[in-house]
Amino acid sequence: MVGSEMDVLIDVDALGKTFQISNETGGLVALEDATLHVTRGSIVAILGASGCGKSTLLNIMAGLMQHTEGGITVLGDRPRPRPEVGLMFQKPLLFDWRNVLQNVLIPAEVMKLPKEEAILRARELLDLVGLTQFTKRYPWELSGGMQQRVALARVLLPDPELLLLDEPFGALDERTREALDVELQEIVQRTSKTVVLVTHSIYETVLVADKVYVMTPRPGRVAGVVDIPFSRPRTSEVTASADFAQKVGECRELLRADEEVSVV
Amino acid sequence: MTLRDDSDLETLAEERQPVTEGGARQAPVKHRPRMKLSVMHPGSLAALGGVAILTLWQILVSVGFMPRILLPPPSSIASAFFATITESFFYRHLWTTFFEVITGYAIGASVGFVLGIFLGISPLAKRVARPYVVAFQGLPKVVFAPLFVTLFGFGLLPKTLMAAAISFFPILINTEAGMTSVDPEARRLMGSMNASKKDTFFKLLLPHSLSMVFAGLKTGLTLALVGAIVGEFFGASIGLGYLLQLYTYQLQVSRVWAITAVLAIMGVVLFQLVEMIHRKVVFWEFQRT
Repeated sequence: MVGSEMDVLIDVDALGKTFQISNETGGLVALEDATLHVTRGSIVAILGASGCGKSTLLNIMAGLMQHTEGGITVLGDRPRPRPEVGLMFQKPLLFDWRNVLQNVLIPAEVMKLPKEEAILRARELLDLVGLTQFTKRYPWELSGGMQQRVALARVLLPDPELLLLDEPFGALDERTREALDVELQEIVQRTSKTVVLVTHSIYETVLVADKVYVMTPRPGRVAGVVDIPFSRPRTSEVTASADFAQKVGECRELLRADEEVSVV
Repeated sequence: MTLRDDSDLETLAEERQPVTEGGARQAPVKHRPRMKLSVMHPGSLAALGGVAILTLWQILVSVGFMPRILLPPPSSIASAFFATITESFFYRHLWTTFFEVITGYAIGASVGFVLGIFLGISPLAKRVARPYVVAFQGLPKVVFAPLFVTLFGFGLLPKTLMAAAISFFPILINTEAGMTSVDPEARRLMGSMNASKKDTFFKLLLPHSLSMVFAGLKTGLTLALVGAIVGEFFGASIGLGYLLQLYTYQLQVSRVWAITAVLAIMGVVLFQLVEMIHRKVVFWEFQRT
């Protein structure tokens, strides 16, 4: 284990998830023998093709799904929905009947935080994600990238220690995605968050993460780990370097290893 | 604005354009070159069409294509209309029907809305109610009219209940559909915040369902009018439905058409009223493209 016990925010040990399908013995193994650690202040990516169990893993971390084998602790406790853990999705999931500011305030209302403070904090976060001028706008007036910025501000509102991001920019075009990836890791660094990023983009992974767990499907398992030692803050320039290409290659190799095995 | 240099501003400018990928909005479609007729305002085009039909009707009746007693010309319907609305007894009938429609609609809408919520949020309620809902759906609701007369007599009650019974069903179905059509991901979002059932209902389910609720309310409104009039056909001594029957028996066909016009106006006015509230309450439905 890396670091002291205190610094491991998520400890996943031989975790497995089998979906029981009716009238069938055995069931569908979505996740098998996954072991990983997420240390404080790091950005850990879980990379894999669809069906590799990466979203299942994230759902278990978020406390929205029960595991069937192994063990997991999140912030020293069994996983459960809590203010210290924020979950962000591929879709922005903004409510059309609320303007930008009101959307960001949803967690505050749910958690019954004092209103005045929450509004101040929401405005700060909207500044942080570059939407100062858009607080009164409605979701349908924003582009996809801006909508995801609102979602990012919303997930940051309760000041969670840990961010679980489920392909947050997966629905955006390449350029917007890269801009948001760069911004994300700056924001994360500035606000000292710990992040688990689930994605199928090798490029995004190497640009953003400190450590990549590469997963392969059927059954979903961890194929290998790649450390990305680039200094922060990273900009899109880093993607032009030879080191970047090499790390991309390493990840691709691990993803491909599975393909060759599964073909045989 | 943070973390931006000039090239990022370019990105932002690009972001402001509607995005086509990933289910975001499409760029607005350019209008095709217009055809000649559509140079005119659609409203005036509609008015022109109406005038053309009425003129044709007037001519056909004048040349004796149909006997005036069976199909009166628009001119005599118009004079019957103005004669009717200047008679004071007419307003007793108008008010009665209006009262039945509004009261019945209010009852039907409330019951439909509340039941729809229950069916939408409780799987148990849905399973229990399912066979009844299906049976009721297949039933032509006008069959209640004679039954309500035998049960509740000849007063306003059976007509009001008819209006309620017919109008409540689409509101029930739409409210239920509105509750169950919420994006499961949005529920997951509320779950990840550990939101209470109450918060999930008031902040997500209810506002989300409003769009469909109003669609049901509009369908229900038209049906409330049907219910009240059909109710009046079965044993009434007051109301526009009663007047319709009376004038038919007296072969005052122009008056029958005049009352029909009154009912059409009532329907349109009430519909516009609900439409106005719809636009006010579910504003996001009309503003997103």
